[in-house]
Amino acid sequence: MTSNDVRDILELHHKPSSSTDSLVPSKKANKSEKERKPEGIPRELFQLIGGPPPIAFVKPAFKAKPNLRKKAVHWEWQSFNNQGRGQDDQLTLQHWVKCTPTSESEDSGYWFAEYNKKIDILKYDDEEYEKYLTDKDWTKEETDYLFSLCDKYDLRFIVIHDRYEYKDRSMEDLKDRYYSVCKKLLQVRPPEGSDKGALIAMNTYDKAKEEKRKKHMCALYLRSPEEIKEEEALLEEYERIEQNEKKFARERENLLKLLSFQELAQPKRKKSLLSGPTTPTMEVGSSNFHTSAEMPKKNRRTSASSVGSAVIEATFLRSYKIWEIPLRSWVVTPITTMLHVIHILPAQSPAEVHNTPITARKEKFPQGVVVRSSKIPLPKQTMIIKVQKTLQEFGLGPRPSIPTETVCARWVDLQKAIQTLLDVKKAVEKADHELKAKKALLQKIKQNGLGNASKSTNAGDAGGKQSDAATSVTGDGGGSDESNVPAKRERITLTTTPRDAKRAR
Amino acid sequence: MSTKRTKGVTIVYPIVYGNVATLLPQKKVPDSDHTHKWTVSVKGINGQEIGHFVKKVTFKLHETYSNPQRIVEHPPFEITETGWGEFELSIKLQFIEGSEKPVTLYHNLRLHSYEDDGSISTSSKNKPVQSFQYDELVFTDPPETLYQILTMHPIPTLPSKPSPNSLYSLQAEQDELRKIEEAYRKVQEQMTIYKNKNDKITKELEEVKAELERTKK
Repeated sequence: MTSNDVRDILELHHKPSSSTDSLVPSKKANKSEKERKPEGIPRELFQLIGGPPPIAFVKPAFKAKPNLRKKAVHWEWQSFNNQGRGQDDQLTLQHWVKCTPTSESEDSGYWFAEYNKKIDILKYDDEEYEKYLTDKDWTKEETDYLFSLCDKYDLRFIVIHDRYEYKDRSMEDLKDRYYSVCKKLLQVRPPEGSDKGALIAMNTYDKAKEEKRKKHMCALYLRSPEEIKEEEALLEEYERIEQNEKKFARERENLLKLLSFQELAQPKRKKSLLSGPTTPTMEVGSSNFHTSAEMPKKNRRTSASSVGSAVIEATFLRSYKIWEIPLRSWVVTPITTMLHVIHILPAQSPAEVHNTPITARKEKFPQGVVVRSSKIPLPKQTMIIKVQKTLQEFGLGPRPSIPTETVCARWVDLQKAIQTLLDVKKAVEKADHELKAKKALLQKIKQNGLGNASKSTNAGDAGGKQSDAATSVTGDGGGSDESNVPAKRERITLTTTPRDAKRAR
Repeated sequence: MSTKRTKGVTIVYPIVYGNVATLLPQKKVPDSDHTHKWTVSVKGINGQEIGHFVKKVTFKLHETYSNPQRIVEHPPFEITETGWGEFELSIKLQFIEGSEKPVTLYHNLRLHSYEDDGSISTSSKNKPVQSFQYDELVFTDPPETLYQILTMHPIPTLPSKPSPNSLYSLQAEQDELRKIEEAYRKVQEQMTIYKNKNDKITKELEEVKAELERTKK
């Protein structure tokens, strides 16, 4: 390779030389360089960067010519037997063997034969068979046959099962027989040095279990994608319910505790309140609640948890499609109804509540101590002032003077109501403005009957506003101007005349 | 942190905090410009001491006072001082159970008596000026120790009628509730009015829009 070729390969710039034959290749190099400008980057950039980077290369090291032997080695075509193929096999194959002075006429055997590992399976004699290994289902012949196959195929049961020609047996059958025989033999034979217990344990085979397992595996493998999705969704649902179960169970217990309190105080009221909600889902919840409330305290816990577990079982066993939505509400609505009960009950008897400030109530506060007045949510930044003003009008200050639970709750409601009222007021005003504007527009149209107004409506709201401004301006200008200004506009901007509009109808 | 919390239990302890202020007779301390003597305090609503569950109270006064952070570790939890100006001070209650976070109350110190409309009363009344605020400490899932202590001591309940000792009573609460309900009712009324207005306007708007469409064609 000439240096120019090398340079060409490496895309180095050509060496300027005076000789003609170098000029030609240099031109070629130049051309090829220019042609090969990549299209992705602009020309200037390419000139700056200089194109693709040179390929990394190893400097051609000096390679010595290999020291070849002068004489060729002699190879011999020999036949051999593979010892790994077993004693009976007489297959003779042939291969090339190198003739070295040491290995002349030496049959050291097939060098790969040592890699043929065989499993030493247990062997029994007839005596042992008669004593321990007889089975109604298996004859000695068949057992012997099985063992010979095991030996031959190195306990590869899939192969064994395939080659099994004695009877129609399943793989589990074969495995079962083999392992039970081995186990029995280990048990009756005198103990060896190694851990006998472990060996026995290794040879236990549970046929029923294995069959089941394989069936499950098949089913798992053969699931359709829809089924897979369904199962995943179910699992998710289950996990969610598990997580919430504890919370629900706790809440349920609290409710039951509380209601047992109140039961002592106001048994009548409770019943009347519960007779209120009558939707089917709630009935289930209230019926559960009734029975559990009547049960003695000891059973109450179990009832609560049984409801929970029943719910969980229901979701887990049945297809979620049918039960999903109603179940969720099932779990939730009994609790919400009970919560409503709680909220109603104390409100009707504040005196009693104050006498028993220690209650199992569902407070929305986090754990720890809290000052009640600090927990009143403030309205939005923009609304704070307005809300306070409104409260002033009602004779109330920015916060309640006696912030008890009920007062605070009502206060929050009031604040929310005021906020919504202010929102509605705003919306009404806006709508009112819009209405007035549109009405005025309509008036204009009716009065003038000009396409000008119609064009502005074509333009849309923005145009409408502009025309509103125009009409208001013209309105301010006086009656006489009204006719002039629109008329001018008509000339300039009209594309359709009222006549066209009439024709279109 | 092995304190177990009594789950599902909420204890509400009503307290009253605020200040009393009296005008100092000018003869006593002529060279200082302090015009009033005031006492700020935190107590249960019937004047009970809250030392059984409160470890210490930190009153943070205005920075012009020396040692503005006044710590009181045993009842009565109050600070008495003299001064001339009104400012906001903070009252931090720390509880016996260390795992419970301290709560902070804020109070605007009041020295002068005000008329209803907020202007300072000019008539010289020698009665002490009071400014108190009712509030409730809500213990949610209290830890065992606190629970024991709180249940052992009687929790004050609002008296049914106001008395010279306590301004806060059940009756007052009922009054407040009534006011709130009244306000709520009025708001609802207004809401319905405005909703009707809104409906009417939207209907009219629809009509006008439709008419405009018609004339456009």
